[in-house]
Amino acid sequence: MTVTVGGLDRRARLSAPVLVTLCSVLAGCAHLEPESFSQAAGAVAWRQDSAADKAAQRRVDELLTGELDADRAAQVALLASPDLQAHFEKLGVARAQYLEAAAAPNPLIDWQRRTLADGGGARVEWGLTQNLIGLLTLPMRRAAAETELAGARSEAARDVEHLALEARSALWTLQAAERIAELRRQHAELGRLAFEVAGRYRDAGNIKAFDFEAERTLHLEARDRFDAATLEALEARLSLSRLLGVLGRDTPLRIAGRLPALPADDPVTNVTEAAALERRLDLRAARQRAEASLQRVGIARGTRLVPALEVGAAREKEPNGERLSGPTAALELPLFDARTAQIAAGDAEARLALRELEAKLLDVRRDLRLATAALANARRRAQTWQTEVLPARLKIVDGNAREFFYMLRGPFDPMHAKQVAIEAEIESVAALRDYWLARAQLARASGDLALVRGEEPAKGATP
Amino acid sequence: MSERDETKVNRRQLLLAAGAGAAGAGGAGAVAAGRSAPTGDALRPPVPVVTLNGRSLPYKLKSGVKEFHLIAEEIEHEFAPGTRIKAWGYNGSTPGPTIEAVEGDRVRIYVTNKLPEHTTVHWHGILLPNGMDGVGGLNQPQIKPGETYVYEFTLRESGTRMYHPHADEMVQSAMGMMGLFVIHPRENRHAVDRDFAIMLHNWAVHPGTYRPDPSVMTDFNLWTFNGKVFPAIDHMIVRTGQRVRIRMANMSMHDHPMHLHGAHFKVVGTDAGRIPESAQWLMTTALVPVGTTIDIEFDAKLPGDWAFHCHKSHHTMNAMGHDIPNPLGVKQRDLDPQIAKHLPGYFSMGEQGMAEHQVHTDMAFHDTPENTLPMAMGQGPFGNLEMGGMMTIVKVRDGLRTYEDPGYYSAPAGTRARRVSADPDFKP
Ligand SMILES: [Cu+2]
Repeated sequence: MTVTVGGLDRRARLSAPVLVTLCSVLAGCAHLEPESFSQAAGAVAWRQDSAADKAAQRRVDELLTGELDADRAAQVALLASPDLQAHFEKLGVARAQYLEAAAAPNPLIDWQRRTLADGGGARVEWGLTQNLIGLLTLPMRRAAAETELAGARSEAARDVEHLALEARSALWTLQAAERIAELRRQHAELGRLAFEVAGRYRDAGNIKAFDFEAERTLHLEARDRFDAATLEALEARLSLSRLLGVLGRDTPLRIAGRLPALPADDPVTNVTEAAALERRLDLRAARQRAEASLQRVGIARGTRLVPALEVGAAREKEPNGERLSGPTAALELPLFDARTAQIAAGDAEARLALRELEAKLLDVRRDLRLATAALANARRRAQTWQTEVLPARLKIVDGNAREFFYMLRGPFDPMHAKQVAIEAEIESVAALRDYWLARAQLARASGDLALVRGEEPAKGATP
Repeated sequence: MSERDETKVNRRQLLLAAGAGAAGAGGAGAVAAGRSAPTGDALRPPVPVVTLNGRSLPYKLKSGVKEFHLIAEEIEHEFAPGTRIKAWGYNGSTPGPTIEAVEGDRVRIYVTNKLPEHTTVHWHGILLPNGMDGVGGLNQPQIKPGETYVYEFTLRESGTRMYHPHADEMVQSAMGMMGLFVIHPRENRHAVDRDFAIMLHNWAVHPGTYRPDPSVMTDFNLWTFNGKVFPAIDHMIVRTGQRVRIRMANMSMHDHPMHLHGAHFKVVGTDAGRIPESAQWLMTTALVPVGTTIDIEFDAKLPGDWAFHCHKSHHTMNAMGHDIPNPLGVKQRDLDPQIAKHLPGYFSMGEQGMAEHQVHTDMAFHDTPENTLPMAMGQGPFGNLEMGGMMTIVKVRDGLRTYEDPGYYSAPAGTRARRVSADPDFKP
């Protein structure tokens, strides 16, 4: 399926996939049904009172008692993130605007009392006027507002999706950062030990001063990298807590110690461009906004030459006590303002929306191609480091250790070899992290959240 | 250690060729009646050479010419159990089998080249027609792979000689191409009871590799008698009172001061023949220079287990790192447990000396490196021998009946060093 700007006519709108449940739900009442997103992103609730806050709080507490994995992190974020609640409140504002636009114009009541100069009495006039055009165009305006609101709902759904993806990505980033910090700790400890051993050789008078200094610099460099990795881990932890909306809780987040293992295959999903264009919620929102603009400019154009007609009734009480009553009508003569400016503004607004949609389509294509490539690339890197480089490095460590045992090598060789092997493991962890981030990237680009759901936690020893 | 059957065969051939009777000096089997000095005209025939861990090359007698066939080829070689390489040698071994003949013999030696590159054979120290001298390009074209050349000449002198290539010699020496050529005298005026032959060589086999590195010039790591390292080298079994000859030929890149315990010997010959009595003197260490053969002779008067080794102490060790940081006197063991967390089994060595090293390697405290040997090996009745390389034992025993290994010497009461105190401040 190819969606083009030109396809945004009434037929296309009718044949477009049914909007996420959010639309209908929100049109009826002000609550998001949890089921709306459970398939896409996990349970989600628009908390509008303290009871809802408490219920969400209880669920978050439950989720946080165990170790957080990516799915749980996403669930916590959807329940606890104030950012998401803020998005939902924006949706409330959009709904209020919809209610306003969809209402009939209010009738106008006027009252006049005029007193005679000689004090001989007063004339009192009553009138009730209703704007007829406003009443006649009400269904069209309501339709445009509905489309506009559907766009807002799509945006809210997109925010839910993105938060779920960001929460997963932040969790993976943290898992990697903490594992890397631990590996950096081991690397630095080996550096310190090699430095200490070098000190003993120097004390015994058996190595040169500058060989000793070489070990010192290696030790300090290793310590410096450990320091940097520690800060990165802290940053990742704070970012995750902040994103999940649980920063400030007394107990620190407990997270699963290891990234999920590299799966044998990537999930079989439909990540074609056509599927992405259909699925992506930001694209849907842009389309709906563009439609609403077209609808509005249509109204303006259709009533351009229809004179504004106001009809009403008036009653009058004369100073002498006579009472008069009868209908009134006022007709606007479109002599000077035929709503040309209003129509031009509407046209421009619609064109703007269409151009923005066109630009958005380019984004989708780029995102999809990049994410597809990033996933394949990250998989290859993860495999290379994990299944080829790291085992080879460990064999080198083993060979060095064995030759040290036969006094074919000094003590620094196996220690340095182990440090190099740890570096390889760090690369391996980083590549695995990049793989999962690429999965999230592709999920975002394709709009297919099946790419990130329910990964098996890593098996094997914890660090 | 027992000698090989080939030697027996060869001994019979040798005796026949020398025109002697079946009875004679000790070979591999029974010990002969004892050394009897030459009396009158009745010279004893020479005893066959015992090539430690080796053998002599059989020959066919064809119209009075002794025909030998050397095959130059790539072989699997083992320095000691667990360390194997691809080497080059002759007839399946390095060094190749010892060629034994008698002064005056006409020899015809076919050389078939099964190596991947051309070769020649130079008959080191033998005086022969120039066209038989084997210097590739100078005296003859090189023998190309697959070709067979024949050398034929008459042996005009006796003594210990060698054979080795004179083509791409650096590589072919490094790979093990060499052998002993022993020419017995027609008149055996200096008869011995035991006649041992040893080819000295050095090898650069980097630990974990399987082929000698010919580019190494000085930093060799394996030092061998006939291609073997201690304790895989045959012992020399001798009965008390026997006269013993040890022939040594050096094809390595280093000189070797060869030292014998328990006897005083004289250097009696070089690769140019017998040294006159007037030029011989008693000694315990004989330098065997590169590209030389040296014969020593002595009377085995003292029973016991007597070491025979190169006196360069690095040559009585196996492969070890020569550029490692020196651990002697370095107090570091307290750090071991911390390092072992990252390197399981990590154990620093050498603070007090390297003797502990053999304890650790013998007990296999750690996985061993690939294709190399511990630098110090060997068990004796009183503990580790802590050696490798160019070392073996001359076992002199009273009343031997065979040359089977008699086991370790048992010193008579009161004739062995003993502990009298464990107090460091002991004063006699
Ligand atoms: Cu030596």
